[in-house]
Amino acid sequence: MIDISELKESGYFSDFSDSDLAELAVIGTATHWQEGEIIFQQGSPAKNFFILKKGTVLLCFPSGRSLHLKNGGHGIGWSSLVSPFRYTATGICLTDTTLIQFSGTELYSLIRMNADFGHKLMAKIARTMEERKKYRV
Amino acid sequence: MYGVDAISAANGWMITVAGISIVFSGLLVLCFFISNMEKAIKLWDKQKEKVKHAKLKPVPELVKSKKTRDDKKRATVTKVVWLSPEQVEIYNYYRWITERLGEPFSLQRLLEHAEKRGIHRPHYHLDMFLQEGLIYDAGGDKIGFHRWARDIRIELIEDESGKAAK
Repeated sequence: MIDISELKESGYFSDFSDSDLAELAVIGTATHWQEGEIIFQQGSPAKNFFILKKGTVLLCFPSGRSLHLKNGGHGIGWSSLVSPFRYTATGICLTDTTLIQFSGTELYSLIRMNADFGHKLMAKIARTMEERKKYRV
Repeated sequence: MYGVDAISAANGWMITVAGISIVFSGLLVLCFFISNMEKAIKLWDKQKEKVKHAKLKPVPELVKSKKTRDDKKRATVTKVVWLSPEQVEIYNYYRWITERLGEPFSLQRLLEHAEKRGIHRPHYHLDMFLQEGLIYDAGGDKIGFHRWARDIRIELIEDESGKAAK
């Protein structure tokens, strides 16, 4: 469990209500990763969704393209919420990194229970997918 | 004739003195060489740094490609990035790798090569070069691939009290 303020600070959930954030805070965990550590491998089963809190992550796509994500607010691992539930990129920490981790299954339970929350979250995921589409081709 | 007489008659004493002189002279030369080796190595290192530093100004153009509008815009801006000797060494190593990969290059491939070659903290240094703008996203249809900035000058941090570098 994490504090709601941490979610607010991240910026990713800025348009979510406090009650939504409270539910997210229950299932969120702050995880710490070391420089050079691989968060997930492309093609592996996508079990978790992450929000970048601190540090730098490099998303490496099979196309050879890569996306440099730094400090706060980026959603990583949308594949955990979209079929076929396999990561489309490899996530590598370029520096010591703090991520807020959410289990895909638990996020799905929240979506099932709260349609408004589900709609907002999936809209965000769709936007992230669209932004990164050009890196996948 | 035997003993001391025989030695004297055959110039034995002179030969002995000459032998001892040669051996001790050799030892003296060796002693001098070893005692000054540290200074010689330091001097060698300094020269190497100077040559490396001189090579960095200006950064050589590695790939002769058509200049895009973005490149032209960048060429007008000049920024100075201060790097420690270790960072300059890694910068040169990265440039050497990308010279072989060709521009624009994949950061993933660059990291793989850097790791394979045992470069110290490859991820940290890659991040630093990205943050400093030494490496930038090629954009357009090459989005996600990267290039070296040509309008940035590298300066070497000479001492510890200079610009801070991790």
